[in-house]
Amino acid sequence: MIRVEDLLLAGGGRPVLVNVTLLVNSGQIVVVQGANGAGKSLLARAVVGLARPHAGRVTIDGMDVRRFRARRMIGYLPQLPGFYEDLTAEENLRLYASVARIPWRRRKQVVQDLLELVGLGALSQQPVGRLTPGQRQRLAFGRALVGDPPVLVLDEPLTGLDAAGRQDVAHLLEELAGMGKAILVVTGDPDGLPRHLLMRLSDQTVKGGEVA
Amino acid sequence: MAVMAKEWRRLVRAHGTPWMLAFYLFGPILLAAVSLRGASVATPGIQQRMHLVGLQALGNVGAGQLVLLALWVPWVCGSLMAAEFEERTLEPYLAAGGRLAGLVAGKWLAAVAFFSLVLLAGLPAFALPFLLGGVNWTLLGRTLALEGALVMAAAGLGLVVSALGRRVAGTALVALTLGLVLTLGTGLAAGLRTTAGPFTDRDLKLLLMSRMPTPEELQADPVPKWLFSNPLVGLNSALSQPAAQAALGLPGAGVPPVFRGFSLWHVQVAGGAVAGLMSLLMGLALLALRLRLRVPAVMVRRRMRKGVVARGA
Repeated sequence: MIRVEDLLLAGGGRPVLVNVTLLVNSGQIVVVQGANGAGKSLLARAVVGLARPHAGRVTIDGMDVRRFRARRMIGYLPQLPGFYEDLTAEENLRLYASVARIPWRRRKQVVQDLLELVGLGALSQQPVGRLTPGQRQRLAFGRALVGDPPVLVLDEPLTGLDAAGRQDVAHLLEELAGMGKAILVVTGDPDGLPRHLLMRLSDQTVKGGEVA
Repeated sequence: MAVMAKEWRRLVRAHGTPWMLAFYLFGPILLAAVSLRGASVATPGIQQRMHLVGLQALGNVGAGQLVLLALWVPWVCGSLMAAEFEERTLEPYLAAGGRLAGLVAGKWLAAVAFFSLVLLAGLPAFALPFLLGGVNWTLLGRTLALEGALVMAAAGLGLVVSALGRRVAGTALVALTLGLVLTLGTGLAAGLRTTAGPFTDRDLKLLLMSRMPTPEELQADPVPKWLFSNPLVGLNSALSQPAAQAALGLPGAGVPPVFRGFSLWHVQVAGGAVAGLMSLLMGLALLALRLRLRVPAVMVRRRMRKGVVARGA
């Protein structure tokens, strides 16, 4: 589902990732581990089409990720999830539900279901600025699931979560993979994350790999 | 539409509902206007004077609103795009399949809708000159058209500035400064430049909008073209009509030679709309550029050739 071929990516004026090749099929969870500055987040941004590779290509279900249709198939959780602080959790998710072109009649229900799924049902009317870091992370996870995308790219999904939250996310990831989603996780600490394959990014170079 | 609705909510929450402004303005102004109107009807001799005061009041209220909008709109819109960078909301939006064009257009439309409502809420302020007399619907319409054009252009200008920076405080300040320069700075510079010496009576009158210069005066000492970017000059022209000028004892219409043949306020209204649209497109282009401006591929390949980075397996 996610195919990365001979990717060359630069950051801060120097090449960070060279010759990265990666394949994540439907129903698989691939975890990419790396030290700080190894290029994990850059890889995630490239996979969702936010970072422009200098060479190589990324395809989602055979379509180049720069294509609009491909981008709509991805749910993305960034390392530092940003929200509209003065809007409520529900209003934030409703905006993304609208971007995902969920019909407005279903929008409210879809958003409410997602908030319940990530354990924020009781805080739906709370402005995001008043949520704790852990609650924000849960909300970011909910945002990545808006529109039920078949591909998930998660950058440090366990950041800020307590033990129960980490367990919840782990179970949810297994469940989502069981539903046939292709999941790419980039993290510095893969402990507690379910996975079918673990790849490592070493400093300045990339140990490319392929999952069949 | 989604972005517009979101921005609308944020603007209303940050600045309050414009109807509150109307509520505060309406009562006292209406009371003053009705009492003055009553006085003018009761004393026929002063009716003519009331009309003159009404025209003057219309100019003052219009100018006040123009200055307020020329500062408020860029200040608010100057932070819209930078806030997306500062709050780190742009990337999730784009990753979710949102379009840049939708984002910029939504923000611009929300800002224009919000400030149009502010204009509507400010209508009670015109009750005073209207009830004093001498003011007709055409003059009021021209004033509102100018203010609407200013809102569109200033919102576009603010968006462009906000797309250039990543910090809300910085971009809002730059946009506010631009608004200040356009409204007050150009007038001041025109006054200083025209004479390069003592500030003449003509400069003063031009700034205070008490009258337009006559064609003869303009021939002898043309007004600098860039002064016509000033919305106050447009308001001056919009409110100068033969009947009103005759009533006020002012010389004939002083449309500058460059705009001879059509009224200046038309130019500013059309110009404002075009400027707003152009600014919108520029903001879109600038933002797109910012996102695409990465380290040139050639630089990366050169470093690879030099062996700075080893290829991975």
